Amino acid sequence: MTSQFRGEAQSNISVTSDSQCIEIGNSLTIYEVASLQAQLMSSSATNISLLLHLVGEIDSAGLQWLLHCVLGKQSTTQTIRLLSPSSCILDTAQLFGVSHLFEGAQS
Amino acid sequence: MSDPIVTFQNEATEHLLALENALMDLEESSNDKVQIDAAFRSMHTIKGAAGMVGYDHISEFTHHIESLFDHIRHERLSLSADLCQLLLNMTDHIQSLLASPNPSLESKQQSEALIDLLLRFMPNEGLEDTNSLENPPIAVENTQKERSERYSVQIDVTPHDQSFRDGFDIIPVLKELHEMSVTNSFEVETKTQAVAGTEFDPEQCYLSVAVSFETNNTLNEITDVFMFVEQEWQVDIAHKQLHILAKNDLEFPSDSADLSQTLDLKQAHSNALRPAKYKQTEKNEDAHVRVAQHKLDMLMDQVGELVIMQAGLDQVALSSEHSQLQVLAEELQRLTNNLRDIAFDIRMLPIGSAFSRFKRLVRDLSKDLGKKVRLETSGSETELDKVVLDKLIEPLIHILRNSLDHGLERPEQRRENGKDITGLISLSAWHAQGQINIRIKDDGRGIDHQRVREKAIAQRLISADSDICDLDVLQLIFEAGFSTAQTVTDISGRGVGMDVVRSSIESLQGKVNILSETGLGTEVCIQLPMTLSIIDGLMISVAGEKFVIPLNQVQECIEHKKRSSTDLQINHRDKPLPTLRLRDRFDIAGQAPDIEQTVIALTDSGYIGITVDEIDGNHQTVIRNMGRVYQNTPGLMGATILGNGNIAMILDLSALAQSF
Repeated sequence: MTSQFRGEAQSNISVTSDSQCIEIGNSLTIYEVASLQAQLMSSSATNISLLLHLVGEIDSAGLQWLLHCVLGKQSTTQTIRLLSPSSCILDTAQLFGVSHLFEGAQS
Repeated sequence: MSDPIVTFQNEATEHLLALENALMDLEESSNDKVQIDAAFRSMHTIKGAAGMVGYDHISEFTHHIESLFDHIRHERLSLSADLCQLLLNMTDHIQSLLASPNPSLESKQQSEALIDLLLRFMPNEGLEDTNSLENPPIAVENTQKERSERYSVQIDVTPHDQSFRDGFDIIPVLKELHEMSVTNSFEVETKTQAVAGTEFDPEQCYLSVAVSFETNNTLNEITDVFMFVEQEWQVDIAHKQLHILAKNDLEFPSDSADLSQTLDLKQAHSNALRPAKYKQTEKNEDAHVRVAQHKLDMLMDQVGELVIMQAGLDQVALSSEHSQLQVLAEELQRLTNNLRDIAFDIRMLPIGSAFSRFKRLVRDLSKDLGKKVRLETSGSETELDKVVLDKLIEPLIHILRNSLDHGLERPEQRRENGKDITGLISLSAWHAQGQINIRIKDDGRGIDHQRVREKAIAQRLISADSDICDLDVLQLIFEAGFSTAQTVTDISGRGVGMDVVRSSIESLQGKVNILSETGLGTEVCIQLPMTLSIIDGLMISVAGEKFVIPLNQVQECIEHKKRSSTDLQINHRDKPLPTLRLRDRFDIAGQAPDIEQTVIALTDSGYIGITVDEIDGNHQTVIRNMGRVYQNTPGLMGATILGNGNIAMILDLSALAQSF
């Protein structure tokens, strides 16, 4: 997969033996999703948490990526959890009628 | 896939032009609902599209104008001349903002200043300070006419899978639909295709949404939300009227006019129940696709090469005894001709697209000059090649400026001269003999022939004892540096321009001339070929040299005995016909054959005869510009490459006719 959108996802990663926490930066748009997806694909952790409290900008590609992760389509061997979604993410989720997928993720 | 930013810029420019025209019509008739709706739709579309492609500043800026038009539509506000002027200024500002999604600080400050001015006009939102404005708008209470219809809407949206990469996002669409919804009725169901992790491309769109809500907005208004993605996305809209609340609508009509209105309402109601996708299908029958200009140019170049190649193949086929080759060449020629005609047709644009730009020019300049002017146009549907049309704009602007500045008198002067105080400029276009004719006519003071003559003598363009006629004297206006204007203004009068007008028109293989009558007005006539690319020609020969005559000018061909070289006319149908022998005209060596051919052709000067050695027949002629050696040769308008690689000159019959 090649991308014309060369943005790098600004994310902090912490890893333990079988779990990983990825803190997504301010922007979760088409400019970052390819990079984030590559991180997930290359991760050997079975439990991955996406920390979303910093996200201040999201587009449809960003939301689609979150849905892909949370609906368990990423991998049969990985479990992905969404944590602390920002108000920007919650507003967008509400607009798309998918707020229920973020219930329980709010800290 | 074309760049969405460029698409947005092009389409926004068109909407701004539509808005500008609507505003100018509204200046004349401020209650014209059709124009108010047109203006609202233009602004609404620009706002929505700007948000989708990242022009957030334009989106925000246009939001205020859209709100203002919403007030006007609902008769809470009426348009004044000052408000129209402000909106025209805002239109200009939006055009400048299109250059970049991130405007400069100066542009942002200008936006704020314009919005501040706009807010003063808004009912209950402005500063109520209208002292600085001559004609403050009238806020009208109109609660009775508030929207009363309520519709139930169901929309299924499936974006194209490359939508995200193309810069189109679903969020602005959902936000706009959400704004349209009433009573918390907005519901969205989002679906995403099941794609395994390894195959998931995060930049591809797998989403689709089903939206349902109640709204006061009409089907057209909802369809407008998708205007910029209708070619790419699958959008099905079901729009159903729920109920009518207005008391007046429930009353039984008192006369036949009201009855017909009620029936129309029922028809509209029944139309509203039809799912929009059916309407979409009807619309797609006449759908348009935007194509970059350079792609059309490439297509025409390739068609031109194909035509030349075809001519070569025809020659080979004719000299061959291979009947199958001849049949194939004939069939290929038919297909080539069809392709040529289609390629031509694609490039043809109505001249009205240029005329509409002049409305603003005339309006602004007439205001600056303190003159009252009416612009009338006719023949807007006349089509010509886009390349010709693009190059025609500047010369036409120059001629219009001259008419406005020097031609038309001030109102008081017109009244003294017994004329209507409003001057008239008419712009007309029509086809004739395969050419485009454009006429710019004003009813102003006209041109003083004597003054032009004196100026021409002073500039040594003619001698003092020259017996040149008045009509020819006028054409001297097209000489470089010639101006009879007594004052030089910002608009015209420097003597720079009319020569540029002529050279621009001539570069399009066209001609321009001027007629004028003192006190009555001036008329500038332009003749242009419909295309600069390929024409049907009649190939003729003189001493083996090939020439082409544009076929649309050919009337008939006659054969006769060799005539004397001093004989400048032949007897044709019992009438003398001015005729020239091409051999003599271009000093071609050799003797004329005993039997000669004369082509009778129609020019703007009337019928003429061109005597040649042989007539070869029809020829698809790809017009090429001539090199420097031949480009100023009178009587030649271009050259073409023949199938065998030789060159044939294309005759300019009008120029030849003038040599009699």
